[in-house]
Order: sequence, then C-alpha cells, then structure tokens
Amino acid sequence: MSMRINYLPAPTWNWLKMNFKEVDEWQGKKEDAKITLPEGVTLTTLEDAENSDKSFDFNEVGTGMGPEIGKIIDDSKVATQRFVCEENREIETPVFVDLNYDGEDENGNQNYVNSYEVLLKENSSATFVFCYSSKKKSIALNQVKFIVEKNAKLSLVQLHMLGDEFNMFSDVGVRIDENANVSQVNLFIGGEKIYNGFRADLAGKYSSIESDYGYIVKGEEELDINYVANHLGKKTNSDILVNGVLRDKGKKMFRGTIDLRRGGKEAVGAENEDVLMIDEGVRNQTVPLILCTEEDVSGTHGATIGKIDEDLMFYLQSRGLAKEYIYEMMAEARIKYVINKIENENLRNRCLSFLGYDKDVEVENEVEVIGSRGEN
Amino acid sequence: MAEEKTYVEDVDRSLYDFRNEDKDSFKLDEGLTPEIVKQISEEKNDPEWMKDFRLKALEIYNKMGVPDWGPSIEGLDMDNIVTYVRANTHMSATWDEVPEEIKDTFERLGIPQAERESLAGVGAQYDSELVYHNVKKEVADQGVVYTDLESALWGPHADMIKEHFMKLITPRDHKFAALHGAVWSGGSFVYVPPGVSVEIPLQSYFRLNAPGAGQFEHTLIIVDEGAYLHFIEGCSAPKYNIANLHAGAVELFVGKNATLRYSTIENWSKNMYNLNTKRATVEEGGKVEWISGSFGSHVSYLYPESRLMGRGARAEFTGVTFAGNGQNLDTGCKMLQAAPDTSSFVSTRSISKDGGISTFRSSVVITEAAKNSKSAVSCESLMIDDISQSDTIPAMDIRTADADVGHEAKIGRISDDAVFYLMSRGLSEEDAKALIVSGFADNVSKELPLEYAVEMNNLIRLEMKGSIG
Repeated sequence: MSMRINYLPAPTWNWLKMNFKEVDEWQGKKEDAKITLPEGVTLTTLEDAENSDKSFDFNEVGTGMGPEIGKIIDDSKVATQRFVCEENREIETPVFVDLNYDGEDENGNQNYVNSYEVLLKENSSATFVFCYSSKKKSIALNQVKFIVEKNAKLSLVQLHMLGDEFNMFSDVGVRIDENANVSQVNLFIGGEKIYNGFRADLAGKYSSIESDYGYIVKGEEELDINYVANHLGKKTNSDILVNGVLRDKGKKMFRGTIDLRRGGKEAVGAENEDVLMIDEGVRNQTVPLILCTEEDVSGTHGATIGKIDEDLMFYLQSRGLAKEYIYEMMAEARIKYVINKIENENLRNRCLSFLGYDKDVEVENEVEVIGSRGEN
Repeated sequence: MAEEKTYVEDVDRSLYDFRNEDKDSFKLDEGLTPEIVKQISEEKNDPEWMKDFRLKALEIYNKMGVPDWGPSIEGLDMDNIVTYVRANTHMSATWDEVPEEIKDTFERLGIPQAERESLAGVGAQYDSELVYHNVKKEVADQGVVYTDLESALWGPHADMIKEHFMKLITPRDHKFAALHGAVWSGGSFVYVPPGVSVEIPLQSYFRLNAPGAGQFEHTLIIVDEGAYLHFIEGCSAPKYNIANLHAGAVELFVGKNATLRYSTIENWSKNMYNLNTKRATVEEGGKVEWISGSFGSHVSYLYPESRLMGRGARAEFTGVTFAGNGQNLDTGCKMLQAAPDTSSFVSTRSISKDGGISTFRSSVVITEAAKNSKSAVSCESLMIDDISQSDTIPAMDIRTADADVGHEAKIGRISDDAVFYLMSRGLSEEDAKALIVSGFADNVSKELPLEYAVEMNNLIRLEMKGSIG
C-alpha cells in the first residue's frame, strides 16, 4: 500500500509530478532517543501518564506531511511523548533529542518511529534540537507537534546527518499563538532519501516565524521538502530562506507555500530559495506558492536556480581562482551560512565535521543522557 | 468629495453584451455522440482522414477525466452544449455579402474599421463558422496564405495541414483537447513563406452568439524560416444565463530564425467556460512572443505553451488577467526548453476584484539538453478588496546544472500613498485607482498596437468603475 505525503496546498498540473510524494506504507518501533532534559522541562509518555495535561489538543496541530503519515504512527503503535516547558521561564540549555539509529537490534534491520508533542507555555522560551544520524540502511519517522503559547519563544533545530542508505521522514507542525515567535534551522546534509514536512499555523496576532533551510544533496540522494506557513492571525510574519547545493545525481523537490488567509490583515510572508547546481545529472524542482484571500497583506517569493552568476564567476576567475575551486567555495559558503545560524558551537562543529569542511574541530558526540537510553 | 464615493455597480459590458436573435441558424442536437461527430464531419465536408481523426478523438474524450487541479467546471454539462451552430450564410470575402445583422455585430465590435485602418487581413467567425475572410492583396502577393481552415483542407496546402494539424496539441493532452479534436469547426490557417515579413498584423475575431453553444475554432499558423508575423486574436460573446463553452486550439509553428507575435484580448461573457489550448514550437534562432489579456469568462483555463526545440530559440510571455465578480480565471503559461542556448521570459500581472479569483499558474521545464539556457519569470498580483482571491502557483523543473533560472513574485494591494498623491493632484479616488491599475497592467498594453492598448485600458477602466464604495 502507498500513501501520499507533502501535498501542495493548491495542486498544479499532474504531469509535473509535484503535487505530492507517493511513498510505501511501513511500520517501525520506537527508537529510544538520548535526551538532554534541562530544568523547567518535563517529559512524559502519554499512554503512561495518567495525570498528563489533556487540555491541549495536539490533534488540531497539522503537520507539513499531511494526515496520511499518521497511519505509520498508528500502525506502529508508538506512544507519543510530551515535553512541557514551564510558563514564564527562559530555558537556556537546549532540549537535545539525539536520534541515532545505529543501535543493535535483535531482529536485524529495523525501522523506527518516534512521535513527540511539545508545549511551550506562556512567556516561556526554549531551544529544541532534533539530531538524526545513522550509518545503517534503514527507515525512520520522527513527528513533532508544537504549541507555542502567547509570548513564548521556540528555537528549533533539525539536523539530518544520515548515511547514504538511510530513508528519513521528519515531520513537524507548529501552532504559534499571540506574539509568540519561532525560529528554526533545518539542515539536510546526508541521507539516501529525506522527506521533510513543516507546517506553521500563525494563529495569534503578531505571531512570527523565521526559517533557515540548508541542504547539500549529493550522490544519488533525494530530498523532498514541503513547507507551509498559514497566516491566520493579524500582523503575522513568516520568512523562509533556503540555501542549497545539488551535486552528482542529487535530486531535490522544494514546495513552499505562504497562505495569506482572509482576516489576517497586515500579514507579511516571504520566501526565497537559492540553489547552486554543480554537476550535470542533478535535478531541481521548486514550487513556491503564494495563496491569498486577504487584501491588506504582502507576499513575496523569489528563486535563483542554476550555475554561479556569470559576473561573479568572471570576477573570481580574474582573481586567479579556478572554476572548480570557485564552485567548491560557493557550495561551502552557502551551507556554512545556514550552519552558522545554529547557536550551539558543538552542534555546528558536528555538522562541519560530517561534511568534512573543518577536519580539526573537536566534536563532543556525547550528550547528557536522561535514564539509561531514553527517559524511562 | 462626495462624488469620489460611488455605488458598487456591475461592470457596463453593453459594448459586448448585445445579442442577436438566435434564428435561422442550423444547429446540431445538444450533447456529444459519434453520430453528432459524424454529422459535423459531413456538414464540413471533411476529408476521410479528418473524419477518422474526429471519431478517434471522441473515443479519447470519453476515456479522459476532467482536471482535478483547477477551478471547478461542474456548471458545464456537455449534454447541454450544442457543439455546432452555423449561421444562415456562407463565408464571404467582402463585408457587403455578410448578412446585415452579423455585419452589424462586427461593426459594433469595430472589426471592419480596424481592418481598413491597421490590419493586413481579417477572419471573422460567428458561432461555428467563419463568415468573413479577407487578406490584403499586397500581403497575398508576398505568398502569405490566410484563409479558413476548412477551405485549406482541400486547397494546395492540404498536405501541409495534414502534416501539422493537432500534432502539437494532440487529443491525448487533456479532455478538452480531445473534445476539440472531435468537434472543431472554423478557425484560420496562416502560412508565411521563408523570409517574408508581414509588416502589419492579421486578425481573427471570434464571436459566439448562440446560447448554450460551444465554439471550437482551430488556428494553425506556420511561419517559415526567417519570416515575421504578428497575429491578433479577439473574442467576445453576449451573456446568457446558461453555460457556453470555448475549447479552441491554437498551434503555432515557428521556423528557424522566424518570429511570431501572437496577441490576444479575450473578453468572453461571464457565463463562458474558456478551456482553450495554445501551443507553439520554435526552431533554431526563432522566437515566439505571446501577449495575452484575459478579462472575460466565468471560468478560464489558459496557459499558452512554448516549446523551444532549436538552439537559441526564445519565448516571451506577457500577460494580464483581471478577475471580477463571479470569475475564476486560471491563467499563466508553460515553457519547455529542450535545446541549448534557449531563453524564456515571463512577465504577468493579475488583478482580483469583487470576489473574483485569479490564479497565475506556470511551469518552466529545462531539460538535460538545454545547456546554457536561461529563464526569468516575474508575476505580480494586486488585490483590490478582501473578498477576492489571488493565487500564484509557479513550478520549475531544472534538469541541467548549466542553466540560469530566476523567479520572483509579489502580491499586495494598491498603495494608499499612491492613491493619496494622485487625489492631491485632483483625481477622484476611482480615477486614481483605475490609473494605478492601468499602470500596473502596462506590461501588456505597451506591447499591443495602440488601438488595442486603448481598448484594454478602457476595459480596465470599466472593470474598475464602481470599485470604491
């Protein structure tokens, strides 16, 4: 059986094969993540937690992949885990969720499914890092739903550092309430096939989100991204900047939607993608949508795709640089621009080391572990 | 200041909305069956291959589904559409021979006057058949062929038509291309010989008068090596309470180093389903330029496609779409770049007002073979009020690293500062907004011949009238 994920909110011609991604259904077991849990954040497994707060309906939080992906979570019978950040608290230490899929399994090749809910209560602020890594051949899904309450601030980092036989489904949905803010870095630097969904519902007045996406798709890797920003409240703001590099026979699909809904007056939405295509054999697909049913708004999108600008190339060559070196330099600069948005130095170094850009950086792979492996 | 606030009225379309009594015309039954298709074929005295082609297309039509990605066409019931209506006349080469009532229709639309003043040739279609076709002698003397497609099927260019007819737009493209293949009627055939430059434009005008009818004209233009042509297409219909359908097809073959400019001002009535297909193929060094103004129709699916098949081929698309009350206009373009050094340039504006829905939809596909190709797409949308809708759905599929593709889009409203400034210079609010919208759409108007640009600006002024309440 197959399922459709990463829908375009407004479809286009079917022959382009861009409206959605069709994937096979599969099942997996929960991966026991290593989790760093700072003070001010609690973690419960919902099926175990009789006293967990049920006043928040995360079912209303839609994700970028769409509802069909929920079937994998349901079929896998994986219990959702919920983080809650205390209100009026600024949590400085990041909540680090290390999903390394290299652990030994009794049954040989194993697929993994994790599902989280995160509640940032009013006036709280926190950083959540989800790091996906593996050298194995396998498939994993990680779905995270956030509710960011009034005046709360979420910093979200997702790092995809997977081997060339690993298929990853990372799916996020976030509801942003009044005056709350989300900033995110989403980095894709390894994985045979990566499917990534992200949806933000800017529900409250003055809610905002800034996103920085970076990718290097190489070898025969494929990356399929769906980003949706729904502007529901007044004076909301969304901004996404995507920097990417395609090389070898890498393929990438980016769907980006800004939906300026009726009633969301004075909303501003922007998206921009800059794709450097290095080798013959690469393929880039981009569909940047602006949907608008409100007059008093502003929406913009731009895309620059292809080779290095001729004037820039001429200038750099005139300074004595070889063409091949210029391409490597520009590719590195693009991805480092996004990596540098990550505040945690150790994480930055880990990304640079994975890419082989900074061989001499010291990388601490160990993180503080809560429980033996996982929180229980 | 009171006069600057006006009541929101419906647009005055009396210029286009007059209708002639639907009498003395020959009509086939409503609906679509092999018998009806055979009857059309007999009425039109088709060659045998064309009759077979129609029946094959009908089979394809019956197997294909309606589009699931665009505006709803639920209000269109093919069982109620008359696919062939012929006025009680034959095609003439002088306006004097055209029946008074039909001649009067085209007089009111300004076609004979435009022919006298600024056109090299005119074709005028009324319902399913052409009623007038003429080309100036000096243009004909250059070897330019401009005639109705039916006559051409039996004339000296019959083989050329058989070679090209529905080869670019095939019945398998989509359901309404198949419908067109089955019931097409009317339209023009143009052939411009190598090296010939047709200095003044040719025009075809399509008028659909009969209620509940379809118009399925086929335009086939071949511009041979090094030649130049500007072709203008106009269309309108009076408004009825039942659905009308336009499913024409335009096939353009642009030869090596040739240039074809194809301009359209589409102003169908607001009960029309405009499901038209237009496509050009361009050979080495050739160029196609599309100028497109979409103002009418209830529902529109219109995306002229340029296939750049030869080295250095170029395409430009310049369009404006104005969607008002009750309109859902899904317009845009497709670019396929399949040869080295090709380039495409797209500049569009769309305006939504009074609950109208305007969608810009595009695709740019650059294949592995299209090394050193370029593409630039720019689309801007203007929302006049908060009951309308404007969507932008551009798609890019780039399969070579040796390409340079740029895309930009903007959506927004009329600047209060600009309106305030113009009002401080003495304009009413309505005129200020109309002026700003005309300026917004100047990418198209400045590309049209003067008299058509004036008509387009008049249309915008009419559409904007009463937009301030």
